[in-house]
Amino acid sequence: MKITKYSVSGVLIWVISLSGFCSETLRILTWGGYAPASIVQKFEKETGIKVKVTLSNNEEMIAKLRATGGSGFDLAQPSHDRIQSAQQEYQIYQPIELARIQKELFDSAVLEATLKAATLGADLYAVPFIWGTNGLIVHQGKASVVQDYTDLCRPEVSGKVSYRLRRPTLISFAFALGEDPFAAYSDLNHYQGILDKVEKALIQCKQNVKTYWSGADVLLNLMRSGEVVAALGWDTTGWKLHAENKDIIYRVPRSGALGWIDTFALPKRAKNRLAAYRWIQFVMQPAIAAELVNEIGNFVAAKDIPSHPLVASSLKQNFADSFPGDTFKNVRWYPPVPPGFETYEGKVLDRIQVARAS
Amino acid sequence: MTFALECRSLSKRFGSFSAVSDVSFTISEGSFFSILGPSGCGKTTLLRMISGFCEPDKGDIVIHSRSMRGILPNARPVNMVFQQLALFPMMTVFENIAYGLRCRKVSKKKISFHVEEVLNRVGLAQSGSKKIDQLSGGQKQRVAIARCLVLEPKILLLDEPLGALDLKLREHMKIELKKLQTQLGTTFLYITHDQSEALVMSSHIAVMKEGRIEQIGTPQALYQSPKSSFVAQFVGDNNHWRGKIVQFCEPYVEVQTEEGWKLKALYSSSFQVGDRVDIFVRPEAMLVKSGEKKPNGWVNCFEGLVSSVVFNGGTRDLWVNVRGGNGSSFSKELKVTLPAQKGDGEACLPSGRAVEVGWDALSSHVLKVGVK
Amino acid sequence: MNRLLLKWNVGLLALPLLLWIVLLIILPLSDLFISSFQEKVGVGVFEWGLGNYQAFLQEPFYWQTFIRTVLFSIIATMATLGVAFPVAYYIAKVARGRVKSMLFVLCLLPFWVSELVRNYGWMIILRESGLLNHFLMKLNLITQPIEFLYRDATVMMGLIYTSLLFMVVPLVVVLENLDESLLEASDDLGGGRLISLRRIIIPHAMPGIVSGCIMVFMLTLGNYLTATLLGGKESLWFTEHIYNQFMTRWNWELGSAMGFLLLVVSSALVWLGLRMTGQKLNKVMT
Ligand SMILES: Nc1ncnc2c1ncn2[C@@H]1O[C@H](COP(=O)(O)OP(=O)(O)O)[C@@H](O)[C@H]1O
Ligand SMILES: [Mg+2]
Repeated sequence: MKITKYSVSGVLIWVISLSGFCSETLRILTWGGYAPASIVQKFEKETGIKVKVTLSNNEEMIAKLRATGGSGFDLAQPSHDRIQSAQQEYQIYQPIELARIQKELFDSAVLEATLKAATLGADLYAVPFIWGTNGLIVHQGKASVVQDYTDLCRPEVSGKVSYRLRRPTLISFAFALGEDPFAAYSDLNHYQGILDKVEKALIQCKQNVKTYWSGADVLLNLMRSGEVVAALGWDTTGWKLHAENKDIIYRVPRSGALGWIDTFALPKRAKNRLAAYRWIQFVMQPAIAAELVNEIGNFVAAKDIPSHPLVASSLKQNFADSFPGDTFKNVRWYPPVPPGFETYEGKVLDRIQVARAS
Repeated sequence: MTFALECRSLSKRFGSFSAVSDVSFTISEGSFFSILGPSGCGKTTLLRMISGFCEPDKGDIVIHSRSMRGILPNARPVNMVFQQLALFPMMTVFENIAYGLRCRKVSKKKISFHVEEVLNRVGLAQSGSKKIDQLSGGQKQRVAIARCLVLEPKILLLDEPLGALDLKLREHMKIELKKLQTQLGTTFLYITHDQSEALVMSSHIAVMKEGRIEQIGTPQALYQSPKSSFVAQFVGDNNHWRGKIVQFCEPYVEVQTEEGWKLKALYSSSFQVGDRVDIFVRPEAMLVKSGEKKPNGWVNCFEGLVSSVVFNGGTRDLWVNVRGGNGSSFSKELKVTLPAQKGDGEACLPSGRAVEVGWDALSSHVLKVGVK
Repeated sequence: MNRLLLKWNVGLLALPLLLWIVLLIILPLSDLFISSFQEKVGVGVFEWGLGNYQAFLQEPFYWQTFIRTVLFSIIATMATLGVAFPVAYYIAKVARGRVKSMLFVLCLLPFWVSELVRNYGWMIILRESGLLNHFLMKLNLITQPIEFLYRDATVMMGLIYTSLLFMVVPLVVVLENLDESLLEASDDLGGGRLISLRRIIIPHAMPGIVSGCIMVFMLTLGNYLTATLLGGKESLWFTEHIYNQFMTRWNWELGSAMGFLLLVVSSALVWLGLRMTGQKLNKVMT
């Protein structure tokens, strides 16, 4: 087992690192859009470090680092709730030295949520980069009844609803059903009970669903065409649709929006840690962060960014509309997922998928 | 009298090319009828029209008094042995032969009986379970024929079936086929470009040229009295001269050849001075002067050198190189066939020997050029 | 001496192939095989056992999805054969010159774009607010738009469309080798079209049919995008399951077991198909 695994990893490392030998390079494993060319250029000009970006998503990021034993990249950007369990099981990251980063660059609420989620023992494994929320995307004229997640199952919107079959949906529904799944993370039995309840609700709700969306572009098309009038989705998707059609809004439901944070984490065998720290410092500068916000549409976890003068006014407006007053404080940041929970959740999702719509 | 097959003014064009034009003939029942002609003269096209794979542009085909117009190939009372045999490689010998019977929904028992019988008849009794690619060329040939015979067709069409065989086997199969046909009494329509095959096997031959029939007759008639230069040259070997009639001198006419020879040929009332004619002499009609005696009726005589001798067992072929008359620079090879055992003088004519050759005017054949 | 040299040369030439086979086939497969027998008993702690296979058998939706996927792939393969055979016959035996190459290009057309784009194309056409519904409404054939997407039939159509070329090519190759005089002989001996088809054309085309079927079966069985994008709420393709086990559940052990089962069952089915049609693999694959 060990031997074969290492030999496969060895070949992968060799292939991946071939390009990185010549000059100083920073290899970032990140999401599409998180390292736009304009920012990369500025960074390269300022530091002389070449940046190589590999696009991925949460699951693939972890799978990739797991396959290479945490090498091949200098910086990864997994979500904050995925770090503890991945680190416990596969040891793919190394601790971050907070001393090397200016803490005051970060938004305190998001930083705090990240520190809480990404600390193991005395070691911190991630600092926040960008955050966003999951909520409802609703066509106001056609689906005014949808105020909370469970309203997606109401007969008024039958056949015109879509959501993802992923864990955010399970958790959103759990909250809407009056449970607190995060509090149940310490008690697997309790958590199972909640999941059973959610499973039943989602199977019942299945007849309402047009299709389970798989990517943002699919959801965009479903909402644009009017085939779907209410969906569970990301704030940016909702804001984008709102920009095209004022009737479509992103709504923070009664039971609250779920907040995710994509972070900076150092792969276990990162070669160029210093460059990674420099990148973090660089993109968290308010001016660069504001530029990134305008590019990505989500808010970077830098201090006071939602009111930064360089941020586009439409984005500011979105933020103000979705989080009036100080409701931003109510965002429920995902706590770290206890190891093994994904397997249970996965089975629930599988059962929901294969169940016949009643 | 009803015929097994009647073709009435059949014509077929491919685009502007006329492959078969105005072909008519009749075949009486039980005969072995051959169509002989050089490659590309339209034989296969003619056969395909009879079997129904190809629709004639004009004319009609009548088989046993029934017009075949609009009748599909699988409903015609004829079967075809294909030029490349077209045996089904995915089936055994038995299955190949049983194919037609199965299509007719004959019972299994009967099929088995008929197939065994026909296998016996073609001498392949033990080969029923063999695969096609395990057979020799001659055996394949016989399977192809058996496959048709088992259906008891009114007419069996054979498209150069011996073409793919080696010489020895071909000689053998010629006789076999002829025997088989006599034994069965089935009408055979046989296509070939090989005149010796046609001469050996057929009761009647139609000679084809460029889509038309030149002459129809028994092998003897074609050999002895060809009606056209083409037939004379195509059927059997012939020595050939072309020339102009210059004068009459009863009972001969004198012909001046292009090479400068003056030849005597038998007079015919249709000749006129100035007519262009072809003169043919069969090699076996040629004579060689032995000793000092001039053979009887020897009107045409050439001096020449034996250029080569071929011993054929029963006969011997000499090629004699003769020079043009009156010192002209032309020369010509004449073929002379002699019985192998004849007088001593001729028995040893080595190449290089000077000889005098000639022929009796009666044994030459004179045809006017450009007249049929 | 010379012979030794030759041996070495051949060895050197074969080296890349050998490397390819070892690195990309044997190593990953043995990795798959080994990890499918590992059970997770704690954080980062594994034990040997058959637990993953047990888990597979005990969860009905695992093996139901598996059976469904296999059945679906078999049906899709047969349907592709049904569609491809007349097309291939036309290309090989009827069409000539320009028409022939044009038809071939038509079969190639789906491969000018990536699978993702191809499926998005289908979605644009078939969705409730899509082109097909638009035209049907324009022609007054329907009054209410119909959702053509998210149905099993749509997945089937997408799979056939994607697989067509892989069936057509081997069929055209074998059918082009079919001597037309065999068909004429069959005709001459009294065989109608159906008899010729059943007893001459199909037996002749068998190697092509089998190799096409193997290719299409493997392709559909391993398909991911078409089944995921065009499929409905209940449809779950087995490869999607495997992907989920690896990527979202991080249950590599169960994913390996599933992957290995898929490999074994598909190989067994191919073997069965070869046996049933009396074909040899080496003949079919050349
Ligand atoms: N299907 C066809 N299309 C065009 N020309 C053809 C076709 N079949 C035969 N021909 C032409 O007709 C002529 C006679 O052909 P064929 O009957 O096969 O001659 P044979 O069998 O006497 O050798 C040939 O010049 C051949 O090229
Ligand atoms: Mg021919």
